[in-house]
Amino acid sequence: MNANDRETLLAHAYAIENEAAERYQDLADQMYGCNNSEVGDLFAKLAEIEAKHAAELSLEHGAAATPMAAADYSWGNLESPEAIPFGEMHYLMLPHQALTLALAAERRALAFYEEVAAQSPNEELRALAAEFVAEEAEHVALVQEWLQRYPEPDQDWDRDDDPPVQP
Amino acid sequence: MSVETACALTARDYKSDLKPVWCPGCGDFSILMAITMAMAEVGRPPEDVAVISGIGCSSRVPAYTSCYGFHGVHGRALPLATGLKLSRPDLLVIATGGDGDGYSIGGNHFMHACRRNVDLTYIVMDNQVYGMTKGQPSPTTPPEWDSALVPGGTGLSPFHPLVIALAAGANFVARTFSGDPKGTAQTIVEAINHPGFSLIEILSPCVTFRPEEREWAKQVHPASVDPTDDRARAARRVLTDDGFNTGILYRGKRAPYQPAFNPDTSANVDFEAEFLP
Repeated sequence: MNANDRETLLAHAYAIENEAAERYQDLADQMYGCNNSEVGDLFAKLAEIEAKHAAELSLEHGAAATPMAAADYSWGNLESPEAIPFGEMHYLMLPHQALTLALAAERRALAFYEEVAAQSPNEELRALAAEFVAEEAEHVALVQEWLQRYPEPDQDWDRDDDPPVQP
Repeated sequence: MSVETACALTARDYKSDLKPVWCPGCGDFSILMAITMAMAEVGRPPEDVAVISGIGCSSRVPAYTSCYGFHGVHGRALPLATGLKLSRPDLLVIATGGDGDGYSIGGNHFMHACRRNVDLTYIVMDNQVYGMTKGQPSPTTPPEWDSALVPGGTGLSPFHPLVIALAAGANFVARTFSGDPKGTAQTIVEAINHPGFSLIEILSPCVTFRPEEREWAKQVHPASVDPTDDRARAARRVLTDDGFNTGILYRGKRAPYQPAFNPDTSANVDFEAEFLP
């Protein structure tokens, strides 16, 4: 994204955090619906963190909730960087897998802001983007720390004794 | 970009409080999001929009929106939507459903809705399987798909919905992929704004009964040609593509069907008179 003005950068920043918060909550709800409350709780916690971040953007920088039409956002990808694609989910997924997806999402957001910070022609925008880079780096570190608490899944992690497809 | 293009409504305004019960990983989650994004961009308030469906996983969409909705009879989304649009032309009417509901059980209605060309948008979430009833082959299932219910596959040639729609008279035909919600939302906006009957076929993986469809994300690609208003050319393109071309295929110029009767002042007998010799 080439941010040429503060308003555009803030609109993108708010959308990244807001969409991440909504997506994490959607994913939490999916997991609760499948009685996978351990992963549901993790996604709900991440939703809370992202919603808080979006609120801070509004409070500290005046980022608005609906500043632009959807078509005006430039992500360089199919979705906003911090949103985990719906298609990545599995009803039996384990915390390690959920946090691996979250880590990838946080890293995409970090890379997005790093690119803005590196490419923006405006010094004020570079400084603002650098601030967001620092915040996303904290998120990456947080998720990495959580990830270490959970072991990698076994080979048969998706084994279901009552599978939807009955042979 | 400018903030002057701001939308007063957001996608969230079109979501209901009900949580979808689809399987995690299902493409329909992204499509629901794309539908609500498109509605926000079109800017009609939820009370001016009706979402009509039949039966199936994807036919649950009306319940997940804050618009007026009708979760109807299997395969009958299009006649319901047609009747509603003719009697309430002021409403934005969207029909949603799946490949089984729309192309098999509602197949006859599908062809005639294309032929009538009433100003509707029909969104088909095609996962090439009956998901809600546990994995039976649908009209778009490949013939060789081997499953517990149909060992060795059906051996039947799949239905070709886009070609059928073109041949039957649909005025706007497109194919998108659920993994591209932003692109899908843009296509839905264009379909809504295009007069007449619009079909959007959305490839939507069923991760439970067709887990191999997760690979679609790597197979889809934007069509390398622009939309055409030549029906025959569009049909040739779609007959010879690999099934994973996405984008708007056809924008026609047929005028939408407009009934001569006025629903506010006419009696039923006036309406019936249009269909008598």
